[in-house]
Amino acid sequence: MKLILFAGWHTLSDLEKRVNRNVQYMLLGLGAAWLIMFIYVILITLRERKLRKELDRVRRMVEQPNK
Amino acid sequence: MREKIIVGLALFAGALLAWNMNTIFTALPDELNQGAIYRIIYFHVPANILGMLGFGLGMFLSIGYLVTKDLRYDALAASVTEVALVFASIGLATGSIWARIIWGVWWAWDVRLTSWLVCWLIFGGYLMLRRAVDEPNQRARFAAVVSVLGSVNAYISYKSIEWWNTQHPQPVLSIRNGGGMAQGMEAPIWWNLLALACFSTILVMVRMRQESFAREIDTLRRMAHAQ
Amino acid sequence: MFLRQVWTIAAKDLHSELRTKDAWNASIAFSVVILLLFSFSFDPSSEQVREFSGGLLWMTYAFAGALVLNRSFAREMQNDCLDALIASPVSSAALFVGKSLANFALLFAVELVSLPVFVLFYNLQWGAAQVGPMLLVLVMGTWALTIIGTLFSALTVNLRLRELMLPTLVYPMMIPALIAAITVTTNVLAGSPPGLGIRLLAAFDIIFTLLAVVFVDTVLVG
Repeated sequence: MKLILFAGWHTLSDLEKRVNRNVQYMLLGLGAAWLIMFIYVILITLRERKLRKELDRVRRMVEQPNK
Repeated sequence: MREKIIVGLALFAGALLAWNMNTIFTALPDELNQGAIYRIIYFHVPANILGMLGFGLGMFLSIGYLVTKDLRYDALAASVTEVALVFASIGLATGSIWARIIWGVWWAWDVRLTSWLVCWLIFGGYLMLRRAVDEPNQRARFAAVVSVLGSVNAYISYKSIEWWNTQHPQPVLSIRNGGGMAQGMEAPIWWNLLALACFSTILVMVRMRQESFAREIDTLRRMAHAQ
Repeated sequence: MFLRQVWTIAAKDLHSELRTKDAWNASIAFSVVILLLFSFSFDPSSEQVREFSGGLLWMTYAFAGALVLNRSFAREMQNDCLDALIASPVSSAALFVGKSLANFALLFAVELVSLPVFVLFYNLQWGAAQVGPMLLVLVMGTWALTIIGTLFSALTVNLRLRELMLPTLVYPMMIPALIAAITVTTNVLAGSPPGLGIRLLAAFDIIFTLLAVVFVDTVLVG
């Protein structure tokens, strides 16, 4: 695998540019896959926290109805 | 017990994913025609398999609810469908990035891509519908109907690469008589599928517990109002 | 017995529609407006119109149809008519099929009126050979739209977000049928054989009619 991320564009041949772009998009694609999983994990954690808080609140409400 | 299963699965999935990433990047050579970009297949295919299996499983669980009227089936169906939608999103995103390099466009309107996007929209609608109905039994009934109708489209999408001559590649996996990949290149797809399946099992378990929290909150609220 | 119940429901719906002609007037006016709006998004006199005329036609029908179909069950909400219908000896399946037939007749009539407008606006040439296949695809496509639209009209009738949920659920569901109807219509208008789409449309009609009849009791009664 040929990774030439830091070379200046003007010094590269067309083939090298194409290979470079290919590699960049591969990283972008795999990154997107990880990112979406990561975002979902964050969302599910936030919802967990919200639900636990709400459950606590409702439990207290049932135990002490006057508050 | 539940925590232990989750932690165990997470460790296993994490280790397997790390090992897979290592295989994909260091052991495998670039593909002859596509170059480095072909590595996207190791997430694209497992994610879409999980998406389709999830929608299909959601359908059977929905039918299970309709037959038994047991809300646990409905909770499981909702969890599975939501996780499947996440993996379908991964499949769509990775496929789109791959297409930009190979086809030169981000999106092509062939049958496979269109039908899968339709599925994504329908099951997105499924989750929105669940938020729009408050009464648990009614919600479960309506969601089950949408799940079954939507799964027809999931099946069309699954079969589309055999039925039509799509721009999307025809089946490559050996189980679908594709056999379009060199031996060493196909195996990591299955290993990554296993890793992602473990990961999605964790997500479904967490999601299931949230459903039971939501049910408990609902019951407590009713009690509070009754007092 | 079942057929008589179906007929009663369909006749009831058509009667009440013919009395006011609300949905009829609205959807015809609306379909002409859409056809007009489409003409601004491209050059309506170009030769290419032929290639996407099927798409234009079915988009118009899908949007105009929504006006008819959305009201199908919502109309019964006043004075709790829906509860009365469900409580009556008519089965849910008969209620659903009856309503679907009434909607189908109405939508088909709207299509027949707006079709000449469409042909006129976009300069399409018609031969006698195209009338038969065109009517066939109109019937099959309209039935597909009707069955999906009526089922989801029943499903969303009690929701607080009805007018938001209905389009987000209905249109994606209709897409396979719309795609098939569009390709067949375009082929027919171009004078070529209908192609594979007609089989897909037939399969869609059969599968979703069966599913809808099976599930309508779940949706309406539980």
